[in-house]
Amino acid sequence: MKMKTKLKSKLSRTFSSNFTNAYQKFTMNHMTENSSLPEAFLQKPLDQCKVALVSTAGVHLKSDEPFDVDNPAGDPSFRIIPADVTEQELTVTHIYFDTKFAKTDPSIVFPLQQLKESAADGKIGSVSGVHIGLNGGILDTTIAEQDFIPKVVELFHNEGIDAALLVPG
Amino acid sequence: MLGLYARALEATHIPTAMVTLFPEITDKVGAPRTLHVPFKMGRPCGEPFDFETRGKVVDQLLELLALSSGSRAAYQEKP
Repeated sequence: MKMKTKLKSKLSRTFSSNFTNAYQKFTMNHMTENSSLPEAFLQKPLDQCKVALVSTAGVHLKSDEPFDVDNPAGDPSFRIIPADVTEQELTVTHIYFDTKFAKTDPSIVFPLQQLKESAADGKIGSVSGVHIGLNGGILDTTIAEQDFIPKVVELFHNEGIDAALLVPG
Repeated sequence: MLGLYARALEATHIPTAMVTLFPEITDKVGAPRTLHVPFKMGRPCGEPFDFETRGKVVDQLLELLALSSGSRAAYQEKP
């Protein structure tokens, strides 16, 4: 991470934790309003569904290339996280929140273990073999919408995923 | 950006349930089903090693999946 990015991260975290309302307003102003709501329905009972996680907290495998936080536009790419990953194999790259907590215990941003417990308890049918790590804090989402989101949607259909739980950073 | 993923998945028949720290923002982007949690940025599923809270967050997200799009839930400490 470049020194400039570290500084930007520090400033942003100071701003968002001390002036949360202003931070929200800033984010709100950069967001396109969607008045319609798409609606999907579970196609089978939850205890037969395969469920996947999607996180924008910058979660990825330590062996993966980290998200490019030096790019001022952000990094809209995604990382695939296999279900059989251990928490020791995971890390978090993000500049808009303090990652020290998530690095200590990745389940605070990526509750894969708890999803596995839900499957073991019979609340869901199964845990998807693949999950998605993203890096949030992207103001211009054009590339994500044109390129990466359709790829993830296609992957989820190919994997037979019935429902997704989404967790921010 | 997460709300856009939720919308794209729902538009192709995959229901979603999403944690939100800032409901005003996720309402504006039109995230279909949200669970408002009272936690801090960077800790959307609670504090490190508080696995009990983590389990409750996942349980409440799963419950949300069966509700209609537009459902807005708030995290319950004792559901």
